[in-house]
Amino acid sequence: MTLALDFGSASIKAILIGGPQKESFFCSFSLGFKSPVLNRSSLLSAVKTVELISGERLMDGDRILPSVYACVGLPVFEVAEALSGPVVLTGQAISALDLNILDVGSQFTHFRDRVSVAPVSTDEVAKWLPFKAEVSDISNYIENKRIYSSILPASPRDLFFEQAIARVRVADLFRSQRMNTDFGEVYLSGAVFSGVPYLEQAVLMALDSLQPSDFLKIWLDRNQILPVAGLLKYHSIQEFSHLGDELTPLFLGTVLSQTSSCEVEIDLGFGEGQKISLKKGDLYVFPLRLGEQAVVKITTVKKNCRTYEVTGGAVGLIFDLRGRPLEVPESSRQRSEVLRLWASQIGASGQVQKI
Amino acid sequence: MIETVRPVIKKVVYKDNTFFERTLPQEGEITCKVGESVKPFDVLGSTFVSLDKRSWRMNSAQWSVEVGDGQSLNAGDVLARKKSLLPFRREVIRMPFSGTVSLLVADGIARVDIFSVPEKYNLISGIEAKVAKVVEKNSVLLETSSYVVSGVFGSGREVIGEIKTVGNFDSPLLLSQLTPELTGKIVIGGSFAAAEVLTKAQALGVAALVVGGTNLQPVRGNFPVLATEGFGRIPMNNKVWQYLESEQLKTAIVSPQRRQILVPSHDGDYRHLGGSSLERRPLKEDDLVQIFVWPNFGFCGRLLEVKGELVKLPSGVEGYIAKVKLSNGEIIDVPLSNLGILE
Repeated sequence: MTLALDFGSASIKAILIGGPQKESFFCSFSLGFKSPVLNRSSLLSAVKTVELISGERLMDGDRILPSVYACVGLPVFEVAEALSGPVVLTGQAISALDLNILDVGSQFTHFRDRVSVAPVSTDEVAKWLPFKAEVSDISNYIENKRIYSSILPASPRDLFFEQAIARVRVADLFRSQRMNTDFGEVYLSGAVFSGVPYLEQAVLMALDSLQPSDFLKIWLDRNQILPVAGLLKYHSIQEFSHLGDELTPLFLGTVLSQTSSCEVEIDLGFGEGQKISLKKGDLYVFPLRLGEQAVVKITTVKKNCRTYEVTGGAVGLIFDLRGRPLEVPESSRQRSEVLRLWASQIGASGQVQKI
Repeated sequence: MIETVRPVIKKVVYKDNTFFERTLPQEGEITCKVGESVKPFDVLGSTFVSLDKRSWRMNSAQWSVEVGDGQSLNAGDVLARKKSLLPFRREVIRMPFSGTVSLLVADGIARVDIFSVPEKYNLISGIEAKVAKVVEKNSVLLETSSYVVSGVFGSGREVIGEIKTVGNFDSPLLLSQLTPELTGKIVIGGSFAAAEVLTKAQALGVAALVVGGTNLQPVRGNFPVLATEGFGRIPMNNKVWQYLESEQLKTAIVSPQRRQILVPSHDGDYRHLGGSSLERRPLKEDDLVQIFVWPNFGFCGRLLEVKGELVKLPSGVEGYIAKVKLSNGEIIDVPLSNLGILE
């Protein structure tokens, strides 16, 4: 048996392979409020919890029966003898999958093997809140989340804080590492993405923080399984795709970004394509469902023409005409209106306005 | 299956062996021996130190320094005069106290440091303990048993002082509550300390401030501040408050870097308050729980029930819900993830 454990900021994710009862098993759990520190005691505690949840026998007294591998945000040394391989950093595990994985945890932000732990600017966070908040409220929220990393955002205000902080952290990572955001596809991982009440919110967070200028295909790692799957790949054990469809990332859709008004023709293969005029400054969602194919022809006001072959996703086909860089008004009243408008245009507030 | 296993929060635990280091400000003589039992006011060692020091940087083109390096002077003696053709502008700097001079001149700048006459400094134990180790001429390691109160955030230096509770566990510390008799005390101040309260406490010479919550911004400098619950206005855990209230005027050590208050409790002062601060167990009906979600962040209540199905929270996020009865009788719904078991 092989057990892979990802000691994330808020919870531990585990994949158990080769047990007598189940060929492969995935679970996620937290050991407490605080980010688990990888040491002998937390490792034993995690293995015992997997034993409890999976029903497989993994412990013989204090001896761990399966081969155990672990990845964690910060390097640790004291558990080396209890593991079957070296402790792997989360960034190393993620990059082993060779996918554009963007993982936002309570402590670290990862994109492939790049990591950011920089403190977040409260002024930047305030720019993404559709209400006026005191600087101390924002910094207190950030610090409390650092202490009690596994707590859920219960109120809409808490959720706005979480998502605004995530936007700033992602933007900071790309800015500080001087990375281009036009990489074509991204896998969103971490509780702030996987726990969204509406999938559209994950898309909006990605668009606001990455601001791609061409097209972007977006997947959502619903179970936050990618880092621990990457850990298995790192040790050449087994790939995450063997775990079943329900655990593979969900395709949310393709985003096509334009900086000016344009004419769009969407051909679903049923004859004549649908023609739509899109206005600069807005977000649009075309209900191209999961698995559906379409050919999209975009003609700008300057008569430049581009054609894309796209596949539908859980959110749909998204057109982002808000311009680059995104301009969020300074005044809190105008900012609130604009942020709420964008959220409602993409359906992130729960009321979908599709074209 | 609903995972009802939650962390057990033990904010006050008893530890059999805790260590404290006492260090002389500069080399001197350590008079205690390894294995010796010491009381709070016992002297562990002594040295001679200058308790006062002043420094000036003077431009040699403007000032004439009238003393030499290593010279001993009395209070009122002239250190330097300002160069000026006009007699009424010849400013004079005099020794504010008796002491010795250290003079360094480089690149037309004179740096003058004066040190007061060395006085005897006694290194006091501060706690009842056993001497575990002695570093000759330098420091002493004391071993004792103590109660450890765990906080979540601390800043500033480690200090020793007497515990004094002010106000109540769920009310913020007010400026008017900070009075001169709190000088040198470890002030336990309820739910919150605003920036102006921290400033006044520092100005009054309060040894350290311990509160439920504080804002991140004003916690600056070396003034010791410990938050037991988090950031913002958060009532201090009632068990912590009750414990510290029962230890009024007892000597304690606030260690912000370790986010702890240590209350030495040597020989026979043992009350079992739990031995470990990290445990988890399933929730039970009538458990005392602490809430970690606004607007009731930090408050405690009794668990009535855990609902078996996933519920959409006001944020839209799905989670399991527990019904909790607050001390004022109000019954509220709290996400299970945001509860801790209080022991």
